[in-house]
Amino acid sequence: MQIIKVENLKKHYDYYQKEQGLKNSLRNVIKRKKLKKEAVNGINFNIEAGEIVGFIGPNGAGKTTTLKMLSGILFPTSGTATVGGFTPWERKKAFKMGFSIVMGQKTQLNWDLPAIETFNLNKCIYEVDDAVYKKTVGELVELLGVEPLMKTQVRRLSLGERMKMELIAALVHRPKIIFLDEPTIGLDFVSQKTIREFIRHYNEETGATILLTSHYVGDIESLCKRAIVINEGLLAYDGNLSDIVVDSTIEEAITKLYENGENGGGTG
Amino acid sequence: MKIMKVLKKYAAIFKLEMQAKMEYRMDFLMSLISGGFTVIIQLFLWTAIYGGQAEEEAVLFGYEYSQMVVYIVMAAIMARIVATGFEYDIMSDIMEGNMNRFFVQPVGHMSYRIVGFLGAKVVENLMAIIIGSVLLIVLVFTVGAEFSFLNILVALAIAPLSLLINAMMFYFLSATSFWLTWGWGVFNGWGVVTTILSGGIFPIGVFGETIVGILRFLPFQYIIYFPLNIVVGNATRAQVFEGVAMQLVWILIFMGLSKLYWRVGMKKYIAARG
Repeated sequence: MQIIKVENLKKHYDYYQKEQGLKNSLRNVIKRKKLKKEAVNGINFNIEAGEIVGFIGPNGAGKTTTLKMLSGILFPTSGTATVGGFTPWERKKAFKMGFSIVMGQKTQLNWDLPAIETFNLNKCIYEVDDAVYKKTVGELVELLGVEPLMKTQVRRLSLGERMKMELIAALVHRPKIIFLDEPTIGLDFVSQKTIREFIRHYNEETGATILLTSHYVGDIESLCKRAIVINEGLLAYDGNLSDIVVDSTIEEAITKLYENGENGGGTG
Repeated sequence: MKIMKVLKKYAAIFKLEMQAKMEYRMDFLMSLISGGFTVIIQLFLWTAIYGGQAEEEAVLFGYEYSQMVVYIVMAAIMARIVATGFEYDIMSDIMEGNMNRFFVQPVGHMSYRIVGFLGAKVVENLMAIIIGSVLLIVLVFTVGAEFSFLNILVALAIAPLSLLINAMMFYFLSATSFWLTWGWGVFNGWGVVTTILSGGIFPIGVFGETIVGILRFLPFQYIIYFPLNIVVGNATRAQVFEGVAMQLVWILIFMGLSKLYWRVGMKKYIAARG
């Protein structure tokens, strides 16, 4: 079953530039010249239920923008997408109940309180039964080894510790579809490995569909059979990872795809 | 069952924000103390103004001296009780792209913010009520203030509506951040205007009849002036009923306006920073 379908999805932004110097700052106060950026410029792909897919591309390629559209955070400029049978940007409650997004550079935890307070809040927001909640959080806490940190204020946690808590908070309602936007960014090797193993385990246990972005080859290599490569808002590759690494390392293969994108399409 | 789940959801938001606020207990105390300075300046000012009147029982703007003192002291406390602050959180949420969770999770932004705000205010406002009560007793012995218990109870019963008008008004205003990115100036300016027009510094009678006539139809005076006028014993029964009706009307107006303004704003949201 195709659980995620994306057709000709586009997102164009307005933005403005400023030339260097005070004079130009003053000029910008009066009039700003509007420019257009084609962050995502017509992409197509489908994802089967239960897959872990690596969604990769250089900085500014449009990965996060795509994930935001698939989560219903952003409205697309044009195109369609269905996620779990819903159009994400209609923001239906049933849609929200079945998916989760974790952004490595954002937080949903309350910084003034221990993470468990946010878990409990999410339990109530997603209407999870007490028994199910206890079992889920118990398992996740054990898998990630964060038991001793349960009473620590979030602002006192290290980046790696916090990321583990973000993952638990996002999984309290056992979502069927999960978007992970650079979940290992800035983490040390050991934490990266723990989180990788955790993602694989969660996928095997629950059969959840996972779309993962990362700049760490290790993440992609150890978790994903399939990779979707995007560059300058356009699809550069969609297929098995093994097919592009026949006679080169994965780094070389991906670098090549990134460079092709720069010479070829894209107007970004 | 459904209602229970909704109640549980809001109870959880309420409790979370209440706990988070309790991590910052000193902040509130300091803001009360700093508010005390303006009160002291005003006390000198009004004592001088009333002292200039020859007779013992001078009445200015409808207030005897003791009533005026009670009013300005209580106004400082009431201004703290209704004060919001979430507008700055919303501004940084919008600027830094942290609004995302409200689009993703099955919880409405307005209900989260307002319920969370009420939770965050519980401890502060209990402290404010205790301090207010102590000050009232002190005023009885120092300037010979007189109160009816009933009036104080009525004012306390009305205070939650005052809090809600102010909260809904600032919630409405917060959506401005979708366009301005940095709304500090707007919030500060609006805060000052609101404090003055709502009678948060001195009774609005000072502005003269024309302005008071206009203010009757605006939301401001129902935030601070209205409950305090009951405390000092200057409100008639008819005025109490009219005031409560106006409070309810303005809460509903701001709710409706917020829905519209926020819907337009949300479309502008670009989820900044990665």
